[in-house]
Amino acid sequence: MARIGVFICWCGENISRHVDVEKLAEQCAHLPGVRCCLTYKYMCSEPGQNLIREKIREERLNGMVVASCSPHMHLKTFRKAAEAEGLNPYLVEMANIREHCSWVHHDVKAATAKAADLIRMAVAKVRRNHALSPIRVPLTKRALVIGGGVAGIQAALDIADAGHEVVLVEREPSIGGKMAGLSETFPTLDCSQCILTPRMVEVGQHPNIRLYTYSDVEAVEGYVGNFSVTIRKRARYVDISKCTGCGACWNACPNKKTPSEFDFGMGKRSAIYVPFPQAVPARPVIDANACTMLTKGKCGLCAKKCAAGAINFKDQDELITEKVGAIVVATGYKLWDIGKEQENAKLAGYGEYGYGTYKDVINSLQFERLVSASGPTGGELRRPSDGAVPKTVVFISCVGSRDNAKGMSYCSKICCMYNAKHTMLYKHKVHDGQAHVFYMDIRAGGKNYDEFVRRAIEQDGAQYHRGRVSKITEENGKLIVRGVDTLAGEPVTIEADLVVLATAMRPADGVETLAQKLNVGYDEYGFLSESHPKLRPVETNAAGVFVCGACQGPKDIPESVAQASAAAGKVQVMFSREEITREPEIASIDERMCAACFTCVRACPYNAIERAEIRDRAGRLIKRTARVNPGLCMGCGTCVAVCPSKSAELEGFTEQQVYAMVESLG
Amino acid sequence: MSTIIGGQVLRDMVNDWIGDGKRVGGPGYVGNHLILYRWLHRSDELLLESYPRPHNSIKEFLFPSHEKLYHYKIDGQHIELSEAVLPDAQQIIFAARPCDAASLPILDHVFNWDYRDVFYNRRRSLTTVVTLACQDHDAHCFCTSVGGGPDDERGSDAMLFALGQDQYEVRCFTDKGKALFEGKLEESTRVGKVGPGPERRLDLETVREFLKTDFESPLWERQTLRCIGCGACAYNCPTCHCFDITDEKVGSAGVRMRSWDSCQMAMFTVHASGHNPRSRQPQRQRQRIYHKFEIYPSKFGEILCTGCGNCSRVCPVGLGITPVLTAIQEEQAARAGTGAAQEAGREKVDQ
Amino acid sequence: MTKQLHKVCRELLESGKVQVIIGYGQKDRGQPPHPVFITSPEEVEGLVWNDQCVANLTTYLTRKEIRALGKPAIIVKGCDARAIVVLQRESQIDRSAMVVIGMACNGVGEPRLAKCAACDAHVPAHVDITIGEAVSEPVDPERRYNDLNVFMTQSTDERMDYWQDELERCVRCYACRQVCPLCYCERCVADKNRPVRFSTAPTLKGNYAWHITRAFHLAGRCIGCDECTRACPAGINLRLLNLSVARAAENAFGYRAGLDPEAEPVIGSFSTQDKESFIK
Repeated sequence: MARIGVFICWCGENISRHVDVEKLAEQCAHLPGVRCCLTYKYMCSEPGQNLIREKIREERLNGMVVASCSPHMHLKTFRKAAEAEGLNPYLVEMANIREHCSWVHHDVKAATAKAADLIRMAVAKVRRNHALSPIRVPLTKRALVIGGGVAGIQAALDIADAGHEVVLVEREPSIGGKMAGLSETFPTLDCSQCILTPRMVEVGQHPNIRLYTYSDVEAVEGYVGNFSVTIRKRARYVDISKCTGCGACWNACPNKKTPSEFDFGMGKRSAIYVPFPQAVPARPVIDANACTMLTKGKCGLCAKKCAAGAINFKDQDELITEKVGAIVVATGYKLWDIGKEQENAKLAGYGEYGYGTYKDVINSLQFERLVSASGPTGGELRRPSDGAVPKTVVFISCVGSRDNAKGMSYCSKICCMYNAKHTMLYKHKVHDGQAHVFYMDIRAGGKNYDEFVRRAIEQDGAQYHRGRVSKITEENGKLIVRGVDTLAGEPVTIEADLVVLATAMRPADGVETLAQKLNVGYDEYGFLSESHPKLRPVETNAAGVFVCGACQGPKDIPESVAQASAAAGKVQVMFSREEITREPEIASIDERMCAACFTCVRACPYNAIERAEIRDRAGRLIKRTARVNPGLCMGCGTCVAVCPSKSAELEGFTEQQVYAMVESLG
Repeated sequence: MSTIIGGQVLRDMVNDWIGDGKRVGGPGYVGNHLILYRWLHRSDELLLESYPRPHNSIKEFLFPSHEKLYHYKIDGQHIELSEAVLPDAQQIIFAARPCDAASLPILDHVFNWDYRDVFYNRRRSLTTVVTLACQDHDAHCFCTSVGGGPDDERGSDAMLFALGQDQYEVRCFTDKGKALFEGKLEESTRVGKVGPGPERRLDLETVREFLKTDFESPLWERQTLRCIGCGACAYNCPTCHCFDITDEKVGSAGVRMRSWDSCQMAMFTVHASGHNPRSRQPQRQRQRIYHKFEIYPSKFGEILCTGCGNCSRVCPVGLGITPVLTAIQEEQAARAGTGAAQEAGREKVDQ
Repeated sequence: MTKQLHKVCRELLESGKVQVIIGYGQKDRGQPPHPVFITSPEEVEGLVWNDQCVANLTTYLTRKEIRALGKPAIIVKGCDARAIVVLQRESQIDRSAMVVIGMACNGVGEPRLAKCAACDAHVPAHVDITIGEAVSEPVDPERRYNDLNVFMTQSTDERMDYWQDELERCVRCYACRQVCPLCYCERCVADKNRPVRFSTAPTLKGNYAWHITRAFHLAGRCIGCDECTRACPAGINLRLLNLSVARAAENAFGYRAGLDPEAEPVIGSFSTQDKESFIK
């Protein structure tokens, strides 16, 4: 027997302004199954909740409808009130007569009639609700952090400091990411490595952090609280437990011609190398493609010089399984490669600027290495072609960013700030140099950011031209930069010694493959998708997987660090309990009806459905069925849609409920 | 002395009936090959010769595949009921086969023995049945094995006998039949031909003895495994009369419907608890044979079969009544062991 | 071919490799062959093979009464064999726990069935044993969908009238569903009653709903054996409905059901190569 209570909120005058709530209450009192129907000014307030609780008690309600605002606001509130009075919280429905009614309709008669319809549907629905319990899933209190840049480091330290084990996987030979290669950071002009390396060392030494460098995430199985991750530790050919980092090997290596990845091609490294002196771990790897011992079987000088006997040319990749409960993705970014060859058909190159053709047209990360004290030129700014000190440098903003024609319509956020920084670093090194910046807008929204840009212009004499550059050509060792200054209304041509392109930030290579392994979505550019852009910026729609840093979207260091701590905070909320509870409004499959065609298993975006067997006591197979894993299902309803026999249903949104709602409208 | 009529006169009569607002049901082509009984719109749709029989039965003119019983409307706590509108147009079923008409006395009884079915009775009272005596038969026909024949008069108000060259002898059996042909017939001495009918191949007594004793016989499994559990046999059978009742509604208003149902469908005997006493196809096939040849005859003295052969004609896997009954007969013969017993069986049938 | 068939089947039963042969028998020579289930070597002589062996026996592989007979060997024509591929993909059968005997075939039915005119599988594929010889030639989609293409030259009104006539005759006997090897759901959505999905009574509205739903549920799964068309006692031209969804699957995804045991089913899976032109 249905005993439904209907509670209609005035919401001050938000609802009552356009919906005649008293009349509405009179109408709804007569709906089939309704025991009581009343109104109150602010149902979500404490007296309002007490009113609900009183009615649950008095009328022995077995279901209730609160007609008020959107469930996003107060569904939890009313569920808690019901639960406190012994009514299962999932026997509570809301009819949105505010956002869906009083806020968008102004004709009182029509709005009241619509509100009556909404309540009628909600009553028809709640009569068929099932009492549900939150799903409890066991939890492994260890976290995986993918990516050892500043975001990954911050997240790993926060979680590790909270007392939980962290597995940190980084695909380069050292952690540190892009920040380790920067010269100075805005807006303080702190030396980037000086502020980062203490953190890196902490990670390397932290008792709670298990660090895998030169490693990739190969496969992820399982579900929130119970992931099983396979990590491929690539062959280093150096046993880091024996190696002391003395450097005899890389000094002895005869092959010193390989372009350095860390220097973005601005410098060279040897075949056995440590990417930079402050690397963590400070142990070398052998580049198997450059090492003559590994390619041709000749040399082996490093092994001969190694006092610790740490070189092992027979090393193999190793696959390791780690069990974790949460995953934080912090894979960072790369700069867009503006050559002709693009990674997908939607992108187009930037031939106009001569990058790749003219040696002295470089990108901003390459510039960072040229001015960095630990860089290939020892901190002296020398241009790549002839090593001369450039007297005129042109910085070009928005190369690829904000450009539909190139397939990237977003703003890369950091370039305005680092262009200003670059002009200042340049001026500090080449006192008689002149920096030019071609820009479209200046985006300097952070704390002390605008002041920083003004300083570059007013104190360090950077010349800013509002306009774009159409073409760069080379004549007699000079780069002819043809642009425009729209504020002056004239074309501008500059003969530059060096051109630095602020190319667009893109997510790091391989992020799409990784996202598919994690069942995390990504946008058309490859940036990983957060659950909600405003309210849930570090969660993803894959339960237990969080994102932080530039992999989620272009951002600078303070934001990356903030997001990393946020993600770590989410992980700690998860780990603060002994088990995970999840909302039970997920799919369920009627195992008697299921034809075991397993279309749902294929269609499920979260791999949340398993193939199961039903056996009798003697172990004989009775039938096969699909079965939803309650730890993983996100309640998207795809299985319900594809099931041909309609054996799959969503709790809280069953077919019977939906049909009842439609039919209640007459 | 006989009365005859020309084919064109018959067709004109059909046209007149249709023009008068009467409904005429008879055999017609669907596509190039299939002949079914249908409501006719024009007399040239009517087929009068050169085919064994249609693949469906005339029961759908009296007991249609679906029928509205009553309407309802729910308004809050108040329910409003309204009766379905019963048909009131006269119906003539024309050129039915004797094996179809023979089912009518059976259906009359089924729909009146404990409850007077107002829907069936209304249609029945509005219907006149004119049969066409059979000139040929096919391998599926077995009317002669169940007490029927190519000129069986049961259920007919009048019967046509082909004379050749689109002429027919007409015999009127009832007042309805006489009234239908009033003023249209010519006196004659010609007497229409009747085909020999199919050779008798079943002895129902033998079959019934088996049914009385062999409920658990492995024959049921062996013979009926290939049944796929559809409703083709039941829905095209002149005597099958099971139906299901459903409520079909849109919003708060609806109609209670009656539709054909088939005992061969898996869910025919599912209980509300979920238990199904006939959960396997051989059990359902067995039940069909029992109902027609043992249970119904025990209660009401008639078998529920007129030997039309539609069941095996339409069965996608070549089953139907005859293969099973034939198998039962052979089983009984094998048990009797000797050819003499088979002879005796045949003698009994001839008597 | 029949002699060879008998030999093969006898060996299979005698050796205990299978417990039942699902094949064609013809007890009454005047009637077309019908499905039989042979469980002993003595009965093997009852198996026949000729150009009237129209039934698609694969529908029995998912019926519980037949599964209870034990490990089967099944006789298939080229069209039937494709159902086995789909059933395997949809986890309904264990392909390794059956023996599939493919019969070379140059067409069946009297008159020849419409599907035979566009057959590209005279020799069944993915079978364990092949009996007989024939030559299979690829058939271009024009020919495969010819009946549909011709039908589609009619106007919308003409086609609507056509389907109204056809579907009015449907009495919901479900012969089409029961004979189809791919309609194996424990409880068909047509029989669902909480809530009722569409009218179970054979009203015109209910019949449209039933046939359209079944066609959609067969999208990318129907192998074109046309058993439904043959089984329909009311002679409804179901072939056209199934051809239209099959053509849609082939045009949009280059997919034909039952050809490739490794191919992912078209419903329920996606490839990054799928067209996204519907996203605006």
